Amino acid sequence: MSGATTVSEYQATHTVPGRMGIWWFLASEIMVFGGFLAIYILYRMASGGAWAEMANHVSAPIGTFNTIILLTSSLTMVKAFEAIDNEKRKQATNFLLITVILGLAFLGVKAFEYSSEIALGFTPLSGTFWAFYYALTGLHGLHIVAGVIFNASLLVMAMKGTLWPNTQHRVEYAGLYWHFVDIVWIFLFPLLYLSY
Amino acid sequence: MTEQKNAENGHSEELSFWRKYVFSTDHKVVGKQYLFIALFMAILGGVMAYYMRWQLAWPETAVPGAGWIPEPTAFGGIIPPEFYNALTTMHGTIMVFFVGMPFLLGAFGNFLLPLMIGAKDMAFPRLNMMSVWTLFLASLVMIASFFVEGGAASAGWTGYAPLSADPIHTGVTWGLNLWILGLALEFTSFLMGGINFLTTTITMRAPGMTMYRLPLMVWMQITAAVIFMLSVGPLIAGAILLLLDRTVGTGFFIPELGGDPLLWQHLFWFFGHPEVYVVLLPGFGAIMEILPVFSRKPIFAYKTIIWSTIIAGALSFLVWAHHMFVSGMDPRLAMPFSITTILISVPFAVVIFAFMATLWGGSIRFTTPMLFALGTVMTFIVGGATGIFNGSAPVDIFIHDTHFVVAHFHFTLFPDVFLGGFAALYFWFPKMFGRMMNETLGKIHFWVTTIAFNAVFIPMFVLGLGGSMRRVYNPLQYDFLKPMQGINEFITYAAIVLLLGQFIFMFNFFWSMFKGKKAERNPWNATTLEWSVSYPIPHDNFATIPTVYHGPYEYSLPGNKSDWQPQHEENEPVSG
Amino acid sequence: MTDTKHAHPNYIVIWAWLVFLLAISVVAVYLPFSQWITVTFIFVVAAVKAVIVAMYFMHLKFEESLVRYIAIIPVLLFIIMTLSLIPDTVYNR
Ligand SMILES: [Cu+2]
Repeated sequence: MSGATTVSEYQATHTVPGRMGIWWFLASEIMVFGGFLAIYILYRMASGGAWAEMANHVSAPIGTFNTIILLTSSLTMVKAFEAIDNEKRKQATNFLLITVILGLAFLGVKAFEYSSEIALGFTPLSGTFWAFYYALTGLHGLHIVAGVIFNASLLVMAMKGTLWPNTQHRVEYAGLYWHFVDIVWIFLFPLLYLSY
Repeated sequence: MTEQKNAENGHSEELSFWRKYVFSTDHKVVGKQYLFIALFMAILGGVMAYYMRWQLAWPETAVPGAGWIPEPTAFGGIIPPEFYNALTTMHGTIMVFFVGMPFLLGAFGNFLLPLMIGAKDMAFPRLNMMSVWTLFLASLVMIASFFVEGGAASAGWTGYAPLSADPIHTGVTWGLNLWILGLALEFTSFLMGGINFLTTTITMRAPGMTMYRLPLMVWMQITAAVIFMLSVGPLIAGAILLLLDRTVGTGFFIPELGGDPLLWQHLFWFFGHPEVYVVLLPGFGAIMEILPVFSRKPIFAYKTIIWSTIIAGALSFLVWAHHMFVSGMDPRLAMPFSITTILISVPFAVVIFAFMATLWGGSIRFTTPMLFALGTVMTFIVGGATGIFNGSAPVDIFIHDTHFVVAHFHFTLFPDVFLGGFAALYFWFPKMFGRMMNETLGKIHFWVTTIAFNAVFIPMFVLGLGGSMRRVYNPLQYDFLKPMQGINEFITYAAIVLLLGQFIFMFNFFWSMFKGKKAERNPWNATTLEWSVSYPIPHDNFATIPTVYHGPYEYSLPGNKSDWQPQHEENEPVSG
Repeated sequence: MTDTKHAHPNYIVIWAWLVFLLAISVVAVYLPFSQWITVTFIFVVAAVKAVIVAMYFMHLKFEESLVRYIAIIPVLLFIIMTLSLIPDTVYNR
């Protein structure tokens, strides 16, 4: 019964609380987006092809471009984590910067897409497909906004140098969230842009 | 450890009043804050029940004590149908989400979990503080919804579409939007809480505290947290779409616009059924702590109880359509969902039998917590058994949406939330407030509550079998219900006794908090870790993290000096 | 802390795979297969991409089994929920 033993030495798992917490959070997020996707898929199947006409008006090239942006931002995010792991601070800062810029670029493209669709008269009230389109991409967009804000705050800390030595593992947690949002998009893209 | 821990621990003496009692990150203070929110909201829900009961017994007469409600809502104490609908809706919402969950998960989960596993605090103390203040905000939003134009939500606590999807059906505009917002905040609060419960239990257990040495209360809390996290997501998705229907004008749940109102019911009950276990399991967890202490016996079949509840939790995701047998859903779904529903009673029967086997041959002490614990088990059996009626499609078609169902779910939730919650409160009060609650008053409280509760809800089964529909505003409008009006009046008298009985508790609670007998460190001679620290418990709980040598229920071991063996003592226990 | 000092995989190669999979799923839309085959193909590819991101970018491959369960169980629940709602929502309108 030595008082010097720390809890961590006796932890049943090697997973640190932060990472475990993020994974539980992601589990609940999977169910939120899973619910959304389930509703969308069921309605789409029930519509019996009536949505194909509506779905024809979204721009697959722009969607593809945005998908590449998001995939690349995931790459830079994980590279930032790798750099943190290898104690390369300058590199980590640069990769975080690129991630934030790519996140903003995604939002910019999305805003352009929204405005051109609204200019053509496709609003959330133009039928169930469009209602879903705006609801799903809107919720995903809000997640991107949250991720960009979080990544940007880490970037500021990294540039000031206050990220080290205590908080650098937050880059890993932010990354887990960012990749999750990427995965959501991986499914949203074919659901909304490709299957007409 | 992580950086949060270092920042939050220690230096509790230097904190200002606000950081210590209001915006505290101490899990014990957070737990008490949950407790007070729950008790306050329970008063609100109780008053609503009283208004409804009066209306049902003596329809459209002035309710004594409702005269203060201003004009468009009520008329000189007379409750109009619109307000009655709001009362049924908000009574259900408040009692399930703002009393049941904060009382059992919020208050006792937060207060006990780190103490029971031997941790200095939750894994994320600031997140914990945020969770209670999010719940506070959610409560304010819910209360505010009574005061907006059009009144509070009145589409039932289940918020069925299209009734809820378009304001033209109920005339409620902002009230229902705030209802959705309040629920969303409440869900957020308990998702934060759940992340904390799970992460703390997985990563911060004391040395020697293996998963199979955890007190069952902890097991029940984390099982409930998992069930909640996995079930609430689709409903959040549905709620966002419902809000868009109401505010933007989309038609996700409005049939004329191509929506499917039935899907809302599916989403609601995909969450709704697991949700009752979220409320149920922590209450059972409290019972599982109390029964061995006052039987001086180890709990019967510890691992079987754990795995039974996990199986029940998993099955709870596969039973939801038993709420929808008469909704017009595909009738082919009725059979599989009847079968899973009847299956799910098996693990719960196992748990109940484990309770009884724990009592068997024990030297039982009828203290107040024990009385409440036994009362919980007794009344819950009635609720569980009547659930089998509701769950079988052929019977349900007859009794669906009658007062039989109302009586059934009150027989499951009331014993669990209130009898189980009171048991827990009487049991852990010494640890929370350093004093004992009065035993005599406690026993009077128990007998009044239990007898009055049964007097309210046993006749309600009869009412329901007689065809009385739930949510009916004025039963006298129907000739076939008139002969049963005497039952309605009897129920209302009993309900008034039940509510008045709670004043005994309130007096006991506040009086004991300041004037009660000072409690010893371990007044019930219990074994789990929370009894190893004395009141007032410092911010970081344990001066040194204890090492755990035993399971949680080592009572009456042969050859031991005393009849209990604390988890943190190696051998040769000291008495006292 | 006990952060596993696993050697990081070559993320750029993984990214290239992801972009390649994206490309073939976009191209598949324009190929003259029946709609049923195309849709199945697109979603199988999407699932593969998601697994790659989870396994390598989110380093699920190197996590302990508990974390994998936390990730997989909600996905299974989502699938069960969707499938069991099909008879009601799709065929019973
Ligand atoms: Cu149910």
